[in-house]
Amino acid sequence: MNKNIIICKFLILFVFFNSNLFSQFNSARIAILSGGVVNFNFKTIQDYKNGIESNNAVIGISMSDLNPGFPIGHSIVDGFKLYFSTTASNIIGDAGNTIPLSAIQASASNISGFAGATFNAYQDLTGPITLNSSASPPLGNVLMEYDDALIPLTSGAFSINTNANKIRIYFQCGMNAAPSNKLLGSTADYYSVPIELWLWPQCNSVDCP
Amino acid sequence: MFLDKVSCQVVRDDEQIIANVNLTQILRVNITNGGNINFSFNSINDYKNGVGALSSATGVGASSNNSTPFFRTDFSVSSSSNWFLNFGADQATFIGTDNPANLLPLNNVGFTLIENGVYTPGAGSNLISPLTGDFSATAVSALLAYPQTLINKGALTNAGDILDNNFTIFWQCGTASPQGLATNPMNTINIINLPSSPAPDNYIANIIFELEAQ
Repeated sequence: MNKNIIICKFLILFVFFNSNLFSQFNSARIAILSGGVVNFNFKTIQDYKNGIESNNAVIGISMSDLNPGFPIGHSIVDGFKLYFSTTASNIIGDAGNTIPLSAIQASASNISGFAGATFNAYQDLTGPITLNSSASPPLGNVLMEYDDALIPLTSGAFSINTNANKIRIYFQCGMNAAPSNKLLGSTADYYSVPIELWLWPQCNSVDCP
Repeated sequence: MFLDKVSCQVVRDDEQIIANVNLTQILRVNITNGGNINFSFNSINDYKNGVGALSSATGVGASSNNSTPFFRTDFSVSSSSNWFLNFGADQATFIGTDNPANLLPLNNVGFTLIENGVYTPGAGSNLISPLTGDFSATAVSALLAYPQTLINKGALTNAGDILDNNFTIFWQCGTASPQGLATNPMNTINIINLPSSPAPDNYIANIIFELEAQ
């Protein structure tokens, strides 16, 4: 009887030990350094015909693998993808008018720390996504992808921080080449949409599970 | 248990940026030429044949040097949204200035409407004119009292700038031109044959252009 109790206590301790050790095997953080609100003011016909671009959004990214030398039960974090999406179905105006999500596009460029990253061309805003705790990456287009070439070499432990790793986000509105995404002909209104930027770790160059 | 627990606990992050799109209404009509049209009947031929511009190239009326630029009104529309244009005379007839009792029916004046902009009558055209029937020199409509829809939206958007929406009206008076596709013909009787035989006077009417969003 006492032996069984001891075994049970050991098992419980083992589970808690492992759970605490591996429950968060990485850290990840997006910090919006500027441009948390992007305004597109269409005031002239040329604005409507040509569209408007905003480049004042800057984000910093920090991420690290907390257990790079002990990858039991998880893959080694070696980079990340930055997803771009929204929880909305349309861009909705105060008066209930709508314009398509794809009227807004975004791309990213390196400010510091991501010289080797892959930056995609302008991507359409897509949605709606559901904000939940799913382990799957969110739906949406990828603005950039970073894969540390030194990982998983033993000499490398993936670790980047906000101060040294910054990205500029370019937003466009009404510049999409498709005629349906031009805003000429749209009803005047004050439209708004929340844009989600998802930082998703990469393990061995694929989305971490 | 251990593996399930760990596989769910990759840490990711998301942040939200709010994008605001403020679409300001832009709606302008601009008459660039021909804000004052005068038809001078100085000869019997003017009374018999009329005066004005039958098209951009063909004028009528010897006393007016047969010059079409005298009888054209150029205007453009700049709009961020779909639009339509109402126009018409501000009164039911022309009224003599020397003697206000002298009247001349509006339908002695006719007009044609031509598109000059990117939104042309051919491929890419997206405007229709219920009043004139189409944008051609052969669709002659009578001048009517305000409001009459001169230009309306077609199947596609007609929002655009002055290069897209650019028009010319050619005016004629007493020509008795056939209406073509227009829904409202001008008077088919020349001035000299009018039963009322208008008294010599200087007849005037103001023509209103009103642009509205739709």
